[in-house]
Amino acid sequence: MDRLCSHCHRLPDPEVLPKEAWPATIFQMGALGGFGANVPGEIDLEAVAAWYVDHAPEELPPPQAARVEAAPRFQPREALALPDTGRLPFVSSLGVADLGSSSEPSLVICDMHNGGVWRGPATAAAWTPTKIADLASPARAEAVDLDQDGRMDLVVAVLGSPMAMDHLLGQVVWLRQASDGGFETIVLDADLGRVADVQPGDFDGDGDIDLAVAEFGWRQTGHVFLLTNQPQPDGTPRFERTELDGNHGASRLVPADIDRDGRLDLVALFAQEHELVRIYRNGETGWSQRHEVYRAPHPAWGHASMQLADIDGDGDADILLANGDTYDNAVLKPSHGLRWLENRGDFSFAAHDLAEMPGCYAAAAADLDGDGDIDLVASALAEPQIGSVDVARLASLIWLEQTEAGSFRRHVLEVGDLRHPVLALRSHDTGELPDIVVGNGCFDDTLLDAASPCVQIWINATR
Amino acid sequence: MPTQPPKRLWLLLALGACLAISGLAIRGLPLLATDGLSAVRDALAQGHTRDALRLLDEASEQDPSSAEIAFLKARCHRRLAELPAFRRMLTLAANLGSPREALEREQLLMLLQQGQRGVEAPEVAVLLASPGDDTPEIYEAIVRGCLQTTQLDEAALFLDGWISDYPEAPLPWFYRGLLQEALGSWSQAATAFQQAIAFGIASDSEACRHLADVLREAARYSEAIAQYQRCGEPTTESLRGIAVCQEKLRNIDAARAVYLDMLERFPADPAALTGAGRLAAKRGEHAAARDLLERAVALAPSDVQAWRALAWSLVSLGEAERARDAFRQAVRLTEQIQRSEHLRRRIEDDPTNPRFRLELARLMRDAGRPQDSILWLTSVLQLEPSNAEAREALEQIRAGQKGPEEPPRHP
Repeated sequence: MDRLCSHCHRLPDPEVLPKEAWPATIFQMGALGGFGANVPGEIDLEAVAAWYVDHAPEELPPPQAARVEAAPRFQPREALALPDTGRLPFVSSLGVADLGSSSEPSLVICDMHNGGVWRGPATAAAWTPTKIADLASPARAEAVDLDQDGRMDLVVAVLGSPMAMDHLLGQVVWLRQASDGGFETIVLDADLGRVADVQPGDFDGDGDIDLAVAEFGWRQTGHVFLLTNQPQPDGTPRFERTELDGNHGASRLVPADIDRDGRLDLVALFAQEHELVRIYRNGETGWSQRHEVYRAPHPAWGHASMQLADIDGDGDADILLANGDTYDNAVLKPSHGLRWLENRGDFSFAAHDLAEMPGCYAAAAADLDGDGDIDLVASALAEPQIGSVDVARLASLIWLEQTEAGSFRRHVLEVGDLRHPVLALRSHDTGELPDIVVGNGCFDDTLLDAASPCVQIWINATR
Repeated sequence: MPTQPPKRLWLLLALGACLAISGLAIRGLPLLATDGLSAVRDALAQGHTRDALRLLDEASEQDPSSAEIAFLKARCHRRLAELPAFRRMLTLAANLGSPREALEREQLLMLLQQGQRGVEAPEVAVLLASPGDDTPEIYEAIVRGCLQTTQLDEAALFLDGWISDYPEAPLPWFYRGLLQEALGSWSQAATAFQQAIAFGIASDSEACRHLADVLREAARYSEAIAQYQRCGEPTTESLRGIAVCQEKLRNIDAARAVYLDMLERFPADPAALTGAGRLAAKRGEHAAARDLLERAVALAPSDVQAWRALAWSLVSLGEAERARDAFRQAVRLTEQIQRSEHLRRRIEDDPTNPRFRLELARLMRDAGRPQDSILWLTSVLQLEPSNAEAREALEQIRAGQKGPEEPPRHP
């Protein structure tokens, strides 16, 4: 069995899925080219499925019901909506950025369902959203002055479709801010699989801004590549593509100088069957080394997001991982939750389980209680009906208070609203502790009120 | 569990009352065993409607003025959901002197069967109170109507009663299979269809193909192939089922052979064109694949698989702009399918809420499926006869339709 499956991924233990999920999973795998590539002769797929069904549990252990704690530190005081442009929005990206045209920071929102990229003041009182662009399922927008003209632009990863499928409708788009504050849409790269992330950085150290691209794709499409900026004589950016990885499934990239050699390396999170974290080392001789620093125990892990933060305060970048994606097999698993990969130097990371959270999808790190160490916040996403699980009893927003180095106390802020695919933290110039900004989205929105807010801001009680 | 206990209680009481009045007597006696039409009635009881209709055609040649033959032919057409023929035969039966009550009953059964009359309607209460010889017909019409309008709890309730009263009749087991199929309970559906076949439902009937379909859905591909092969003369559905199973079992050459066989038998079948096109692309025959797939999407513009495969063939042939258009079409259709699945789930959970039915009707209309839209709008009006939005939408769709009226097919 190991040889049958391990061409593409780790051998999954039958216990990771309930009996009823296995036949469809095995036959889905059987249709893929890699299945059985290490085994000569014909493969009896029905026998493989029967073996997994025989050894699998009837049901996975039910998730623990959660309860909101009394007097939580954060209160949901602000709710923001977008103008009705069709379906209820699915907020696929949420950023707080200084776009320069107002004294307040802007909230930048990507609505994957309706295609809008929006900006607006990051407070409910002043909330007047303005649409910057219409794109085909934008996944993520990152603020950067790409042409270094003194005005903040946005680079956007465009999926091309909200649903996972193989196509070539993905794009990398530059929303260039003009002098009047408007944004011009410029396609930097097209005919790609689903592009999940674009991260700016001066990767070649020549002083201009390059882009790292996670083309998630699906099964046949997908890569990780760099768009290296080779500006034209007039300074207009022009990009050349260099492939870093031929694997599909990269959902998140974070540029960081992991080996502290002065060059930006790239940390990539892969979902799909890979479920791993890989660091591409930007060395003296280029991108010749890559380090697989974490691989999840099985291919149905469901990695959803990744952040870098110095969680233990030792001066290096640790990795915070959320796994709880249920869009492959619609199963909430006991393995869903939040993990910390402790950086032990020399590309070695030690994994620590921090919190079990079914459907865990987004996470962020900051000092939330003002005691000088890093705390964490996590949100969950799952469809309203997922197997026989009553999602109304599950935690949908939690924060983890670091009580002593590496130890965390869990606080449940919200239960039952598992439709938070993204979150961000809103900092304040005044030094007040950050608030939690939660973006909402749900593929099956048939039960939701048309006036449901797309963003909720949980105010830190210190304010 | 019932969602509305008083209504369910009423249904059970009504059902109980009608069975107390007539059920035992019906079960104890053969249906008109002594007349010349007993073979027809046997065929109808076994669900062999086409056989019954053939016998009736022969009989009407012998006796063209028989009101009973005309009436039974109307009944056959009703069961086959052949609306114009049903109306024609019912009119003939009336002209030949069939009893008015029987004709009105048959019309009511048609409305029930189409889901255009709910079991709560006053005339249905009258029907349930005095079913005469028609208890199985009534059960069947109600269950079919409930399945049409996704009132699955009600369907299950009446099926339980039907099976309890006629434990060895094949038809209720067939409908139980359909119910389980609608619920996605493939193994239970397979068991029910097997029971229907064991009790004598026609071997080349819908039950046979449904059994093969649910075995395929349950990923029991080898069993499904064997079952498709038992379903009599090959049809597009059975051949497509076999090809899908062979492909799932990674027998690509066998799957291709089936699609090519399909193309020979049914040259304009979209599924055959899509399957053959996809497998041609897998062999690197992109120009052939494109040609087959272009024909497929022209015949079946809502076939996502065909659009997707066409897009990739166009990519391979360097036709980038057309490939993008095909990908966009595939994305749009996939979103529609996903949305419609979500709405169907909501309707199953909350069958008396017209909101989801209206939204699904709008989605079907926008997807170019007016007949399905009509079905869902009709079901809204059954729940809320005065629903203005449904009435208006229904009028608009009907006004936009040309040609003879056809009954809506099961969504």
